Amino acid sequence: MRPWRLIILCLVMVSTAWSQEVTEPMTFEAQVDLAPLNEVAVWQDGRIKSWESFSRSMMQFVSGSRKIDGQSPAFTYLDLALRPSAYIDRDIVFVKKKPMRAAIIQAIVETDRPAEATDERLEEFMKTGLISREFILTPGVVTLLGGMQGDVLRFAKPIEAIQTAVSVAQPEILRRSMAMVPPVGSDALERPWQTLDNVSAISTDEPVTAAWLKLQTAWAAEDAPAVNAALAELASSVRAVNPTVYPSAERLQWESFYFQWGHLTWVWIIYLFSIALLLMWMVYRWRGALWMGFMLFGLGFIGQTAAVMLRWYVADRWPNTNMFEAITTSAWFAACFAIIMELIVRRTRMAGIFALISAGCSMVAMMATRLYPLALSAGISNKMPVLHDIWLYIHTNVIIFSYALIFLASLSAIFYLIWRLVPRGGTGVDAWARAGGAGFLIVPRAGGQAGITSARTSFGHVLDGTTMILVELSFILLWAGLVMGAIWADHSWGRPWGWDPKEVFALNTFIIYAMLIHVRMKAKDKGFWTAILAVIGCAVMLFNWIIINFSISGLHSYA
Amino acid sequence: MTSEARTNPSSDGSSTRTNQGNPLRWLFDLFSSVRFGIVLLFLLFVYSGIGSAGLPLTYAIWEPGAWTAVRAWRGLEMTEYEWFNWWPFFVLVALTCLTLIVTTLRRIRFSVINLGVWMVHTGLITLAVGCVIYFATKIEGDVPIARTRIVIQPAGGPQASLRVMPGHQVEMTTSQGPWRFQIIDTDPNWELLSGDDKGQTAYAVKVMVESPSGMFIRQLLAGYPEFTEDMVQSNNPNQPWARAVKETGQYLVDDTLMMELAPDTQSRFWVMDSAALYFREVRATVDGSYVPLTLWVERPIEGLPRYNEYIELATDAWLPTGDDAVKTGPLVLPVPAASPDDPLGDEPLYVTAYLPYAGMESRDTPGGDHHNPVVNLTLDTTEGRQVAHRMFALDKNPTSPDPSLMRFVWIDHEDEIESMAEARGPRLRIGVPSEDLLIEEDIAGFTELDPNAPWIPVEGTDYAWRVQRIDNDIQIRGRSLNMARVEMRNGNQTWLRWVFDTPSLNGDFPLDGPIDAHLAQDRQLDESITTTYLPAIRPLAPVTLVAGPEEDRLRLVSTLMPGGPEISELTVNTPHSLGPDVTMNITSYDAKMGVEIRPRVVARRARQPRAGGQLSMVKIRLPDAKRQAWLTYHHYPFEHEQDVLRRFSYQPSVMTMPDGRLIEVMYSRQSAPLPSEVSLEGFDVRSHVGGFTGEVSSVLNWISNVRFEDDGGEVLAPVSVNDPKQREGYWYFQAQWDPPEQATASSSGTNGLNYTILGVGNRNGVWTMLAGSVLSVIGMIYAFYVKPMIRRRRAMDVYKGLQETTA
Repeated sequence: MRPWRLIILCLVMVSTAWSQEVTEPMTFEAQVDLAPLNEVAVWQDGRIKSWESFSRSMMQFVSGSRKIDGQSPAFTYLDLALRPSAYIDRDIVFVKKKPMRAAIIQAIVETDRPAEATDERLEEFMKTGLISREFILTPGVVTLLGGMQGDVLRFAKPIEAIQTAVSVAQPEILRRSMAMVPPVGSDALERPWQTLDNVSAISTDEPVTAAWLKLQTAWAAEDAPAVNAALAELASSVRAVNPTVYPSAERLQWESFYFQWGHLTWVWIIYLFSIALLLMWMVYRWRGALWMGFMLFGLGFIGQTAAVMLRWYVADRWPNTNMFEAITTSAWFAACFAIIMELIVRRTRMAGIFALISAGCSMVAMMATRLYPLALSAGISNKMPVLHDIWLYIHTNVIIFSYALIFLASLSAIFYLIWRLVPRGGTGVDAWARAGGAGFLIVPRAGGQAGITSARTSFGHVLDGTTMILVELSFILLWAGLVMGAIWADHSWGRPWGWDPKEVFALNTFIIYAMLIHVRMKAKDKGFWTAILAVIGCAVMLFNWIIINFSISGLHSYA
Repeated sequence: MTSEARTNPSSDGSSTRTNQGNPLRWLFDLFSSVRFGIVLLFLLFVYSGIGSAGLPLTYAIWEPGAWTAVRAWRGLEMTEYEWFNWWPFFVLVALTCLTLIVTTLRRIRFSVINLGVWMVHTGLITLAVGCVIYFATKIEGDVPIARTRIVIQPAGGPQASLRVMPGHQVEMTTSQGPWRFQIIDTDPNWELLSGDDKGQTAYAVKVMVESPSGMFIRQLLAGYPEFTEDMVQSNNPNQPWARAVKETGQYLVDDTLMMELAPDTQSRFWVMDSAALYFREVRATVDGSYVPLTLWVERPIEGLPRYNEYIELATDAWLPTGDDAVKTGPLVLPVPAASPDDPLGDEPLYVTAYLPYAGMESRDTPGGDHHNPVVNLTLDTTEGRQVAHRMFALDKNPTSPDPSLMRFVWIDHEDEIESMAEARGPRLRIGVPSEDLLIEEDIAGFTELDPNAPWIPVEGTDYAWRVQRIDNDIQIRGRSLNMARVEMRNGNQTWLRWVFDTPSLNGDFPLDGPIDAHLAQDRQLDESITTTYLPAIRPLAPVTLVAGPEEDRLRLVSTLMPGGPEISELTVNTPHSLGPDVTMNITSYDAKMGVEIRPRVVARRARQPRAGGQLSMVKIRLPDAKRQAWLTYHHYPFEHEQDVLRRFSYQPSVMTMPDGRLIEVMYSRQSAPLPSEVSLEGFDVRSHVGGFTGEVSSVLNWISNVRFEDDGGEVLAPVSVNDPKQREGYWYFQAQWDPPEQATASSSGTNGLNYTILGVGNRNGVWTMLAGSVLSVIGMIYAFYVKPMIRRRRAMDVYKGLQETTA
């Protein structure tokens, strides 16, 4: 089937599903219009967030990335706070680890099994990880969790997460977190924001109090039109308390948009199609696929750039201070680099390769943030005090750029190894770029043409040259990044080098690359060993970024 | 690094037939071999990886428990810093440098084309030299500095100086009588209401003074001695303490009492990852405390293990068993004297045990001759549930799982149990004002024991009640309160009431809703029915087990049933009914037990990974081989209790010498002199929008205003995160602080910000390291980007020449 026919078929199916959906009766959630809340700010932990961003971060404590009955987190938050009786014996608490889910089920079944704990519900819990607070608080589960908590290495964090979820889901906690009323006075920037309940307790004739009371009453009665009116009234009245310290409506709307649209990380789908087309170009040399691949790559890049810029604007700082930001910004750097390289090599046999591997890098990065939303939380928080430094921008960006290039190098190395596996005349041992990476682009071979433009150059040469271009640049950037990190560490921690695991494994990645460069001098099959060591270097880099960060403690755990 | 090699007999530098008989030549060839260099790089990679991440024990390498730290193995016991300061690493780095030097000199011609690789190799060797200087001379530690000290001297009395920290106190006696001074509060942001600096904030200290002539509070402001004033008790109940100037016309109640704030000057710091013992001679006082006669004298401990358990005998400590069992080994580590002032003289003492994560714990062991009645019992319900309990009659702390329901006591005389029998149990006083009703009812059953306990109607009304549980002797902010949780019913409406012995504290809550402290603040009370809890006079609980006066006699005094206390004899392994649903079975009873105090080793899986050595213990043996003591770790060897900083411990041990002297001992870290005297002039917390709320995430920066005094003069400099200050070759950087603490039931909370902890360290060789690093970066850029351009230009020249020749 032709691709366009497939696309049309998908569109027809989606539209059919949509039309069926809209015929169902409107629920309370569907009738409530939360749009006015897009302009409402909430103060949380020293940061002013949009309601969307705030409610998502809070609900993530309760139900992880799961949605309760398909409701938006913004709605569920309010519903939990204002209509708590609707959530009694509802599966809203997320338990991440499957072994822990199994242990909880066993504890429920073996001791005091409530009548509501049917086999179907427990099976659903095993599948989705969502369980009711009432089940968590049964004596058997409480005893189980208390016993497991002593094992701090394995269970302290997951049990703490469950306790936090149960605690946060209490309406009192949710209401007490709604610091939505700005302070007034000359020192308003330095004073905490007040919760709606606090303001209502102090003053009964303020517009905020009136709107808040209306909202509570209407919500409890599930009176959607009254709720909508009260939300609009509340949004305008909290801003009116002190418009000078209140963030602009545009900023809050963009922040809401950013979170409502899934931080635009779904752009990975565009990159996926781009990869398919660029692979077709690589294999079949179909020029149409190249240009379509470029177009989709460009589209993906626009989306990715919008995501990075939007986050920059919303967070009011360059996004590189947590794992989510480090990974997404790193992939964006790779995409920028790929565009520059594609312009340089546009008339050579290297055309399309940088776009292809960069699309792969961006796709993996953005998919990772969607697959692991808790570990790679997209929430925007304040920087740790140690990160308020110019070297954060210099050191971190250089390092994450080098990591992106290392990842790209491993992809081109893998393509090289695949190319070597494809049967053809000759072993391919001589397929390597004689003049190195940058040299491959400019140093002439016999005949006066550079390796990249020479007609005698095999695709293996091209792939090895691509790998070397990336290896050389990442080698310099990684080393320079390490040196810059040492300069930063010297004046923040008082020592340039502390043998922290993250430092050591960044150095180890550099050592692998140093080995690569020297092995290339001595090995007979230079292209093969270059590719193998580029992949190993990437594995060490990923080990550093993932295993060291999440499993082995260190000073760099923020990114 | 790609390079153009010189012509060499062997392209890879390996030995050839021509140099087989010449070992020196063979060595030169080896060190100019690229393959040898690659092998060294590989070994460096392996060594670094093992030292840093360790080795995986399972394939699930992403699990935190999957990794074992090799450097922490028994026999190694190294920190990361020590692992990379060990001779194998030095050898590897030295061989790598040697290979770089020999290869560069022998095989890489110094030319424009090879300039990049020369710069890279020279840069790396320079970096290595810098590292040798840096790590060979590196010393790093930290110094705590209080915001201020307070110096106190009553007229004609001694002078005392203590670090300002809420709770610190000192007592002294003058000819007038006894004095007691206690720091009751500090406020880092006291707003000045008058003077030139009106509107600014200052650090305020409040001291409760109990003088022979009365009690008053003195308030002092750091930097503003002219604003020192006293507060005295007033007759106004809304303001129990009033300014003395308003009550008496004088700012100071006693102007002969000298109290002033002085800087907390420090001249030493404490070295990271080090260990030392501190000794000083003390004398005992009549109240059982010890007064130092000398200052601490330090004995550094070298080679102390860090991560594993070392004890002489398994019976030296309470060791975890089963899956949590830990391996132990012997240890005899001499600790020689390092100072002529050492109160133990020149004789060495020995560290004979080390535990990285332990705490002292007393346990009762069977078969001793110590009078300590203990009973083991089970409670069985008709539903088949069983709970086991172990209770001690003489333990000051309640050992029952719920002391309000069940207790175990010892009686010396028979008449004690008779008085118990006469005493009444807990009661509830209930009043319904509208009906002019006031009654007292016995509390007989508990819904926590029997969920089906019947509702007890209040005669003549629609009200009914039953008791969930009672809690006696609750300590809330220094007050002892008694409370019953009573389920109330009025028609169809049910709710829970907390009924105190002080009715004004009562509160009503939803029966099924969550109950915690914050709800207590929002409680509503149904005033149409009043309730007061009247705790039992004796016996102590609804189920009281009574041992004595004969050693083997055990009885039960129960008030569970209506009609007053019921006494019955108990025998081991004979079930005894406590009601329709619960049966008690005494599984063992002993009147005499042994008591043993040993360190309890915490199971590895229950340890906090970031605790480091903070919970470590050592056992020392004095030269006479008879006196031994377990010592707990102290992060700082404070001179006395009035110097202790909040969140740090002070528990020195006292040992009696053969000559009768009392020697106080403390296990802590080694100290080193600071080149400058440092004191804290101020401490500030900058916050994000919304102000500082006590949460770390709202903190933007911590700033310590530090005063340095040395031969170079006196300098005041702010030290903050990312902005350290250098003085006399040492860097001072912001490391820790004193965070505020919310008030809880057991603590009154503090405003914090009473001290700072500065990191201190030297950094010799950093400029050499930086120069080497920068040179190597430039070399890499040259080798990868400039060199190809030179080669392209040369190649193009050649092709151009060839074309011209051909033409």
